[in-house]
Amino acid sequence: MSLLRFLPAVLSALLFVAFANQYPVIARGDVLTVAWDWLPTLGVELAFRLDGLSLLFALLITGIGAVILSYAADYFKTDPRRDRLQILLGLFALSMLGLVLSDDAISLFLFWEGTTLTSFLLVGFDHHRDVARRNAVQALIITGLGGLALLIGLITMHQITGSWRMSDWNAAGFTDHAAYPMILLAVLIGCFTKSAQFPFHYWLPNAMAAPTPVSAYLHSATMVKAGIYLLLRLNPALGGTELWTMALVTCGGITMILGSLWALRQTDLKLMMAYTTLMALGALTLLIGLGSDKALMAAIVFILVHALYKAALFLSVGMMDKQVGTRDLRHIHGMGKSMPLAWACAALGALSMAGIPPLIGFLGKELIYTATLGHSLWVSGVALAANVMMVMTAIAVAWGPFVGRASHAQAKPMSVGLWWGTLVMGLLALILGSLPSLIDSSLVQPILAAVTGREQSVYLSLWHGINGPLVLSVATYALGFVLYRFMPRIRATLSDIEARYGEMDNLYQWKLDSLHRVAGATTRSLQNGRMTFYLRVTFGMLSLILWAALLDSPIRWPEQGLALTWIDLIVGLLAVVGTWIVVRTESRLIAISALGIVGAAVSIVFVMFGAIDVAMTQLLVDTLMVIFIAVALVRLPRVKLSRLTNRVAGFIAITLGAGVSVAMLAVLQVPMHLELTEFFGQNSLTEALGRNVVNVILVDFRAMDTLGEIAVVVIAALAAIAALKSKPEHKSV
Amino acid sequence: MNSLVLSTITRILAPLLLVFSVFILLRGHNDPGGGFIGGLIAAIAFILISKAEGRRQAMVALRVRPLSIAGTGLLMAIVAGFWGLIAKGAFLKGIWPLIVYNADGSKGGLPIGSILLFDLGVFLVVIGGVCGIFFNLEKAVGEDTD
Repeated sequence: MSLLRFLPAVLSALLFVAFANQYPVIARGDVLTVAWDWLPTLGVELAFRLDGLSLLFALLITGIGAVILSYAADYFKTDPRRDRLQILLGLFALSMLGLVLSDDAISLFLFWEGTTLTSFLLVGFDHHRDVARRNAVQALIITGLGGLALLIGLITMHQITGSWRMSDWNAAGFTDHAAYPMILLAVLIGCFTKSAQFPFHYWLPNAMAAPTPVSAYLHSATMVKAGIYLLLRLNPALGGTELWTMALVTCGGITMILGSLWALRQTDLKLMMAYTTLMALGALTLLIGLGSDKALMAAIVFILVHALYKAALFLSVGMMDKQVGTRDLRHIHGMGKSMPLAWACAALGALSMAGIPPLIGFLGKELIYTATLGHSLWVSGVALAANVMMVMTAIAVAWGPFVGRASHAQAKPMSVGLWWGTLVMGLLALILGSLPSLIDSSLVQPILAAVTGREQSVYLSLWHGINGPLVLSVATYALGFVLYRFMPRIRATLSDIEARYGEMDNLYQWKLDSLHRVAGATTRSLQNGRMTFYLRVTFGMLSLILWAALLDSPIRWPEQGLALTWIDLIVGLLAVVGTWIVVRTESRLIAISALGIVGAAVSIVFVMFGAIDVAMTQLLVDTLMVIFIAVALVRLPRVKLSRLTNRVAGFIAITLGAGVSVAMLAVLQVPMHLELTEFFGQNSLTEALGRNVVNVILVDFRAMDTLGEIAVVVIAALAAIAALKSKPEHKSV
Repeated sequence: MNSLVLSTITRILAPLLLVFSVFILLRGHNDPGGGFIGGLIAAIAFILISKAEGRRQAMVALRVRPLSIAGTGLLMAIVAGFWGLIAKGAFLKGIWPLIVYNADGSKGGLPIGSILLFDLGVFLVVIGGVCGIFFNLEKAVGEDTD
């Protein structure tokens, strides 16, 4: 049991200290930038920029990262997969850091995808479980598709401004541009999928298949806030329009209500936390959508508030799970005495979540109410309802499991690595809540400046006198405490509704299944294993493309008629007769032999034009072809080809043949460039010491082509042999 | 397939074809022929043996596994390319080490060099590739029962 397992946590803590060191610089309102060229021809750089917003996220990522990595080290103390988990968590933390520090959109996108990938791997950490695999794929599909949409938006913004820097975009602004709705849609799809907003919210609760530390870190404190981060980051460039407000407030509001309502329905404490995360993300989106300075300030403070309390709550749920082996709130109660530390952590988190003063949650809630009251009544109503349900959830997680009759005789002891960080986060929520002056002008103010794009002055305090927000807060507590008594009944009603109408998840599954069905049907009809079908499709397409190209412009016919000698006619007749036999015969062997006649006729044509080498090759290849097919024919079933397929095949053959003929005649009308011919003719003997120009071209002038061709011959032989060997062999006696 | 006529003819024809294929390979530089055509002729010789005396006999006559022959050929072609790269600084540049330039401007000596090595590579690739496919095809079809 070495202490080496805490190394990742220590590294993360060191990074935290490094970022905290920049705190005074940022507090002064300065911005740190650093950039390296990456793809200079495309203008892509590895550009990083540290302003208030980035600093807040960087501190959250490294700080909570240190806590979680230490927690994970003890959570998986005896698990052989601990190294894998920590490596993945570390990779994730680096991607996330890169994401929030990038100024260059391409770097941002790469880091964005990095978080998607590590999230996929971490959700599917228990890869022997079907559920974990399925949910990991779901998270990957949804966030991955969102990422592609985001890329479209980023590229469009680059096309408009010619810069990949988001700071330039923010300076330019796109709200008046004609492409604004499209950009907004693309960016919003990216952000909404990442931050699990309605209608993409369902992947987040499913992602709880991940181990608890992962859920706490990725799916609550950091990764799911990437979308929120980007919305804030691009707020100056895209925000403030009616479209922006409508989309964000609607989706955010729905997510908020949906999340808090469904949290009440859960009996698994971890799932409950997942749904409250949805509520928080919805609230953030809604606040950003409102767009006023107050709302943005509320959003910024709430990011900090939520990260602190939600990580603490997740980790305390994990502690309960470790100590008594269950996290079902129906099976765990009265354990407060036997696990005081878990209770303390959960209580601090829950108090902050419920918004009780003097914890920082109170500040966050007051700010939210101030912002919504400044907008409209119905938005305030949504916020009130969601917050009431938050209070109920908070009581459910911090009161239910710890008071009453003891459900378990004893709880397993806990190591320091598990609880210290959680307690620190809880205490931090208390300290920052009591002394908001620690963060208001030094952290929130520069962030607000970065988000709004102008200078701001921020002052936070607990007591604002008796005003609207305070009244709403008191109402929230009262309603929450009263309604908590009806929790079981509400839960029963909600599960009833769920059973009757199903979830969005079913819709996703149906879409995925449909995709599989369509893909399966397409594959079965196109890849039916019949060679004749493949050839028909290939040549049919070829003929189609050829004719499309030919008919695109007027066809140029030869100006004078073709002068044919009687030898030409005889050879042509030979080929026609061969073809006729191929088409008419019902025996495959005769067809193959007749095809040999056509090949021979073609090689005679080559001889007539002096291409002896080509003629020889053609003749030899044709001979080999007849032998090969004759060998294979022995095993082919003796069937008569139906007249219909013959007719279709004949039609395709004739159109393709006619198309090629017309194309060749048209080519003749273009004046020939003989420079290459002359060059090879002149230099073949002097430079390459050979009189046979064709061969000299093959082995000397264009030897590189030949090298490629013989490599293809080897590969083709390998492939053919592999294909032949894969067949069940006939046993020879 | 047991045909007295075919196996008798093959005994005479196959060696002749093989010699002819090398002849075609060597004359290719100045007259119709070359590695590709030579390789096809040699492959036909082995296929003839296979048809007349059975696949086993043909493989014995070939001595080396077809794919090894093809691989060796590819390797020789690549070596020829590097020969040019190392000696004259361009990949696949023709090198004629045995050519002698006379004082009157005419050339003498033996026209043997990297070009011939390259052509020999093509020759072997074609033999190996065609024979490899053919033998495996026959095996899969299960025609030969010897």
